[in-house]
Amino acid sequence: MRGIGSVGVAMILFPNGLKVNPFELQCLNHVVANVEDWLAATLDEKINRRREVLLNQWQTRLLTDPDYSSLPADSDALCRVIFDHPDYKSRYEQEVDNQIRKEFSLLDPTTRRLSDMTRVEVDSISRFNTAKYNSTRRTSGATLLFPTGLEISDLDAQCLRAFIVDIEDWVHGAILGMINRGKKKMITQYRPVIMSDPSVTNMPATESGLIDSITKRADYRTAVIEPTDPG
Amino acid sequence: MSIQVTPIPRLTALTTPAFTLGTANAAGSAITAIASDSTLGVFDTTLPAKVGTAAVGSATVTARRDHAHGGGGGNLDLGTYKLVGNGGSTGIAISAAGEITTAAQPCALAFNSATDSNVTGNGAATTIDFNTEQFDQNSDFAGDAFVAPVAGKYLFSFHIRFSGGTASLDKMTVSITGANILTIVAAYGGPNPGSQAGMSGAVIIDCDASDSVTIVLIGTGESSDVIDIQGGSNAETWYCAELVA
Repeated sequence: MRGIGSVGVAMILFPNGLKVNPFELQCLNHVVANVEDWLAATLDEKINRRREVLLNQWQTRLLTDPDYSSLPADSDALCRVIFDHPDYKSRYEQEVDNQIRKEFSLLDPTTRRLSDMTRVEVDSISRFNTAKYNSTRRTSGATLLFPTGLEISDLDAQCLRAFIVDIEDWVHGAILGMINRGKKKMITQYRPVIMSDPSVTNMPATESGLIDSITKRADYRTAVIEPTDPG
Repeated sequence: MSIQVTPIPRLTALTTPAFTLGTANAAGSAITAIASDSTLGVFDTTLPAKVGTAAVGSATVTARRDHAHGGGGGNLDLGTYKLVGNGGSTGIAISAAGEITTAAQPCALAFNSATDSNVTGNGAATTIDFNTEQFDQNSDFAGDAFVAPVAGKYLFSFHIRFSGGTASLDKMTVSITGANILTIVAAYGGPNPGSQAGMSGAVIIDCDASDSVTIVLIGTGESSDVIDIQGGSNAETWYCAELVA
């Protein structure tokens, strides 16, 4: 199983893997040399940035909080102090609060009670990318990324959940975005090549057909890992 | 007794230096010699182009002035007034008149080309449909979402034109969501919008690479979802995203 980020008690994203169909893989390979490496590195970068932002956001608050006489100098331990703070709320908890406040404000002020407010509707927003990902069929010929899942530590997951509602939804958005980027860049790059090729009289009229014809060309090149410039 | 001094004749004629500069030391074949205080011509009088901050070099052996860097290391092409970075083919271009353009800088505008009927009004959260792209410089926009290609500060702006509300419509709230905060940038709490009304907003958000950012609208107060999001051949309901820092 692929693991990223800091060590510790782990959670597994996509325990049954993440499928991409051949068309999607062609698009991805146009812009990233190794899809799993890119996705793992992107998630790792997000974890590190969010952890840094979380620590920065809470630093001043903790330093001026009279309840704390000392703070751990270790990043992991400091994150745990933040997550244990009574005022800390994950992004999901913030969304629920927002939703409750919105609905509460609509009720009759003479009869409304905050304790009655339990209904929340954040799922439709937070799983927008997953719904989009699931709307595409991926059956025969699909490639399974991370076949046994992608492991991140619970602490890293908490750092992400401080800012995003659903980690898998975020990953779905990332991969859909890169598929789109690869498709557009490939077409933008090769359409002029095809149109100036005297041996080509007709172009496919669908995106998948066009992508297929481009990747079959002898002059087509996928993304490659650039050698390091020695200087 | 007297000492007679006889000058020793020169055995070798001293000549002008004629070294060949190369990448490794090598013995030559000439049998002439040079004086130790000769001048060796290794500089010319051409003024180097300004690149970065001037500094004295430290290397004993340096590359020749007309050397070329590989593409992976970036390139400052003063001939075409273009700064190309990290193996790319586009970058910062400066026109002869001084205008700076960045052809691959993330920047997109999309709009809704057809009205979407009855999408909210009774509390439904609807992700606004932006199905037509006016431009998308770095291929970052698709399926109503802008996906950040790199971490940075992005400016998002939008306008939503809507209709179908009744006197019951209480509030319309627009959120830019999917990044690291739910940014509520506009809320319509005015009177019955009648046949048409609009909401606009803009905000700069700290995005990570691959954050997928959408515009979500929630209308409340109606007995059912009667609010329509206007669309057409003109950009009535639109969404812009741009990397600014």
